[in-house]
Amino acid sequence: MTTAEFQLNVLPLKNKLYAFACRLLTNAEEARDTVQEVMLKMWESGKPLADYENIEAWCMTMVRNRSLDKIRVGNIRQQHLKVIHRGKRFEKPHSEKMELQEMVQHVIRFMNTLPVVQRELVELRDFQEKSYEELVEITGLEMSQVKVYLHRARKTIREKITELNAYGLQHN
Amino acid sequence: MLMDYNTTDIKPLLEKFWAGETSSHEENWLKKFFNENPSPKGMEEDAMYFLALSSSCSMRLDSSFDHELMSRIRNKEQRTTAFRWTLRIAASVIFIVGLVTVSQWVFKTDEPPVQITQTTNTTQPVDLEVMRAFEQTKSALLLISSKLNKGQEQTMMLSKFDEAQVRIKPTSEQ
Repeated sequence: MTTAEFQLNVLPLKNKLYAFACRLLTNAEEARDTVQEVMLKMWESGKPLADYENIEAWCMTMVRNRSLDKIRVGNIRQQHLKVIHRGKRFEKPHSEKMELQEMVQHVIRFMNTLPVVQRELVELRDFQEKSYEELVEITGLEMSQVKVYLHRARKTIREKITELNAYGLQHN
Repeated sequence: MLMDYNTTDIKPLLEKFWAGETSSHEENWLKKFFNENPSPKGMEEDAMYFLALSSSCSMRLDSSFDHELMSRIRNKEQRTTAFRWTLRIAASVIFIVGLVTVSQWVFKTDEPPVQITQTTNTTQPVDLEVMRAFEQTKSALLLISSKLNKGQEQTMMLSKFDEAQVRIKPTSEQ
């Protein structure tokens, strides 16, 4: 792969890979380093671009494996990652906007406290809108496992939202 | 896309979603629905999840990431090019040295006598074994030639038999 091919085909994937690494590692610096390591490794391999069937899925798998290794070693400091809010719903009076942002922050926090295998599926399916086939390819799980873990993840978040509504924000 | 479903289909579709059984098409439809209807009655809690999905995004990597990565790649690229050149030069040197060695060996084996006369004439230090072999061969040849000379002297004696035979013949005829 030439440097020009790399810049055209691999570098634009940086934000997707970074979002995925952030969801897995819950640490911005570690996620940044992981994406850089994976991209450098890919360039160093010298493999021709045509040899990659699905370059995005390949990079995602590499980021996943590297992140899981880091989690296994266990010296990752968890952070509450800053969430950027967007959309018309936030164009509201200050107090209402703050409340809405706080609710969203809670939902994101629920996601980040899920087991790693569940939160990676939520990131890939619900945020990045990948197909089930891609989920299988990236994670190496069986299709049935993917569906079960995704179901558990969504169910857990849904239950926590109900609790949040029942007890109010001040108790969470 | 929104027209594919009626709003009455929402509840069963949501159940399907929480069970992890919706297709990509259905999930996109739900996202659009909640985007257009931010807080539908009786579905506020479901709407929260979709609000989180549509209204938030993780931090993004800025251009400093690109600069850092590309400079590291260029450094590695330069180092690789330098290493390749070193390899090429080393291979050329090995090839030339090899060629010289082989040609010297071929030269030595093809013309050994010339080598000996050259070394003796130029009074350069001569390989002791070669000299010994040369001396031994020389003495062996001298020995053969001396023996041959001796043999030649003895064969001269054979002519005396002829002379005797000639003298005897006339007396026997008388």
